[in-house]
Amino acid sequence: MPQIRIPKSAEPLLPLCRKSSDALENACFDTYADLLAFAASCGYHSLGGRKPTPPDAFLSIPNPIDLAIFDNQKLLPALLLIGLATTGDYQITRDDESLCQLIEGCVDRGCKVLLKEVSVSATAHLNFAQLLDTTHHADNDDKI
Amino acid sequence: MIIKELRICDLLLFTGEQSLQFPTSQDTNLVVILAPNNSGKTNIIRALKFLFYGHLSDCNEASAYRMINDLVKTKAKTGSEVCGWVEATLEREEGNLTLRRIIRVRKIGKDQWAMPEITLMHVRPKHREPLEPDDGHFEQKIRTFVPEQLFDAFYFKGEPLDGKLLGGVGAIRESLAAFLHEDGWQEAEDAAEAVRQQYTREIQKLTEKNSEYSKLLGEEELFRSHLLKDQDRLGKKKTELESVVAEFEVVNIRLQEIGTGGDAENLADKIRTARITLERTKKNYERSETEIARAVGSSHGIPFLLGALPAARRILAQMQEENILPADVTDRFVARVLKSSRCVCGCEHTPETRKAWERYKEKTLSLNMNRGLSDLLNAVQEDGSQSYSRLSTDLTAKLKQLRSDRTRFLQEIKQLEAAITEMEQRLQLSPVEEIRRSGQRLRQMSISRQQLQGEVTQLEVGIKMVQANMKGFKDKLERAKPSGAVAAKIRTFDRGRIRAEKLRLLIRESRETLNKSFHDTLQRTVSHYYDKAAYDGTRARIMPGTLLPAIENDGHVRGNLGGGQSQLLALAYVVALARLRKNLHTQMQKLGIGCGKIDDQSFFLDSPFNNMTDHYAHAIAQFLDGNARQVILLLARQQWNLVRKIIEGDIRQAYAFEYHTLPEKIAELKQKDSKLEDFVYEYGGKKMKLINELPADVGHPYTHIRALT
Repeated sequence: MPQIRIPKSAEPLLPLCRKSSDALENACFDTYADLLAFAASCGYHSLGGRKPTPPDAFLSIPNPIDLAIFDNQKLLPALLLIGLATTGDYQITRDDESLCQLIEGCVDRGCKVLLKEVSVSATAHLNFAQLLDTTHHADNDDKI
Repeated sequence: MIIKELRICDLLLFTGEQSLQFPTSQDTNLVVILAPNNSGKTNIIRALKFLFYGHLSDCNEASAYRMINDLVKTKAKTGSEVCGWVEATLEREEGNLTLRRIIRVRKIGKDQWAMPEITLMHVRPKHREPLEPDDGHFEQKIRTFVPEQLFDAFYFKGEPLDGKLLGGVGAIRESLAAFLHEDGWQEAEDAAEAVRQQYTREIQKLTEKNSEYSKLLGEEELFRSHLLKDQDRLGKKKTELESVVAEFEVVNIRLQEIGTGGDAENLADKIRTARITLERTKKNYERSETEIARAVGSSHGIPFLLGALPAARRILAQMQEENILPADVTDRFVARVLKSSRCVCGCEHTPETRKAWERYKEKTLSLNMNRGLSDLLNAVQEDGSQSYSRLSTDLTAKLKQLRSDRTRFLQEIKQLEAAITEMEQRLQLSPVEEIRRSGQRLRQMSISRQQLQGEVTQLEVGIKMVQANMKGFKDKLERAKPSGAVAAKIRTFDRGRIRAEKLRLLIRESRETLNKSFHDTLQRTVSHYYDKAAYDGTRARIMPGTLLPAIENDGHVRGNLGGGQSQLLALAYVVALARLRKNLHTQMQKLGIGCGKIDDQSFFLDSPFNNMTDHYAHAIAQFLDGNARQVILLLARQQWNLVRKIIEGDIRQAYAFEYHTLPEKIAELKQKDSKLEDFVYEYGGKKMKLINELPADVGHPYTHIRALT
């Protein structure tokens, strides 16, 4: 199965994963896959439906994450949703490679947005919570 | 006086007819008006004052035209008349009362206006039109409900709580004088004295020819005036003495507490309990932090994806239409069907059916992402078990609760730590030093007490002597009294003099009794409100002489305490005053003394949370809810954010003032606040922007009142 590589922009956010060697207190994410899914969603929102540009560089460690891991962790629907909404075409659901590349771009964008909005510290979880709250209400207000 | 509705038309910043409805049905009716700075918070209180009294301190009859909305004035042509009005419906036991104050003015030239006509009208309950002009009856009623001197106490404007209790001591004294009808009491006493003097003059006229009697009468009057002055001085000295004795007792009791060591034990107990609570709160705080982190991590960023749902729904529907969405069939199952000579429907395979099965296998079952697509189908449905919309709503609600808990725990930790530090400092303070200070204070007070006692005794002796002399005068006057018909007249006038004097003394005694009971009740009520909320051990004290409130700690009156104590005290004081005033009027009504009946008081508070610690902001917010029947809070964003979590659940009605202003004004505001945060208010989980640009065809700023609940 294809893999999603971790963009270099994600490096400062890795301590927000509990399994990271230098995990912060109140780290939010159980796994790197959780972090990538969160960042990809944030990146998608920031792009407003536009296609992301591919990341400049990737980390060699941690290793790229197999798409099956996302599937096992029930994260795949979110990635597929991003793929469908960005391309507007169901072909993305049968093109694993393209989906992975698209998600890598979204992760890169998301990490950059998160780093701009939030300082990576022991209180990052509070800032993330605020960000989620604001996004939820803003989107609901748009609907109204 | 409870206000049910306030309506404003073309007045100040309010264009057209706008209204504010205030709920009144419950014991506590809290209303919040969210308004950016300069958007008309103070205008509301100004309009109310104008309705009540027909003028404002900075706006007389000639300049009242300025109160009419600028837009209306700009549109007016020379020779035409414009008008603006404010109307309030007041809840009364005998039925609602609606009054409207109208300003009419004629334009006589560019920026020139004739003398405005200001009228108070009664609006009838059923058939509102035509309005009934007031003949002075309602004007008088309003002044009974809220005397003008008390208006600023009940309707705070311009942030008067900011360290200047009710605008200064002079203003409170004036308010109190009005409150206790001091002028009325003094008038009554003066009237009794005038009657007595009139009788004296009549006697003097009758006895002009009797030089001895006339001289004695003159001397008696002179002694009497000395006697009255001494009695006044005696009263004041006795009050001072009472105050010193009371303070002496407080310090003395404190000294005894130090002596027994019970104070230190109590303090140590309190510290122990506070530490246990602190540990528990810290654990709760840490738990809330962890739960927030977990909730964020498990969100998978779903709230970011709400915007993607419509597009995904459309594409998935298209896939369903084309039958290429994964179904609950396996790859092996399809292989078996294709190997078989018959299709699942039992018919023989044809090239078309084989092609269709091949296509299905190729387009769906060969994918790695089938399960993901199945789950996604469920997630995009509004009513799906894994609906992203619902998950996002649930998640944000959970996060809101967790963050609110975290903030509460953090505040509790801060308060507990501050209280523990303060108690530890008190515990560590050498009792010797406190004993020394208290001893010194006791000595000073002992000297003052002795001096005052000496002065009181001296005055009492002096008064007794004067009284004895006056008795001597009476005997002498009796002996020198003329005889015959004149004597009979003198006797009649003298009886009148005695009755007038008795009446004067009765009035004075009643006034003193009223003041004392007023002090005691005020002290009890203000202490009840203030003492339990003040965590620093300070207490409220009503000064016996002036009836003014003060903050006391360990027997000392503390001035200029920062942090919010003064504001809390001020609020406790005015709420207590309003209650006492209502009770006083009810009692007087029962006694048949017609001062007019007054109802519960409503309070308009403009920005009461300035310059204070979170603790006192919370204490005041909690105090407001439950201690007055109607409280209307006017708040800008910063103050609203400070108390939102505490009071939001108790709000019965909320309004927002949407301010529309010139683009250059907004640009100026943006410079001050680059993120425009000051314009955005959050209420009921929704955000709203309360400063907007003026529409292109409007040249003057205006405010629109919007009901939020």
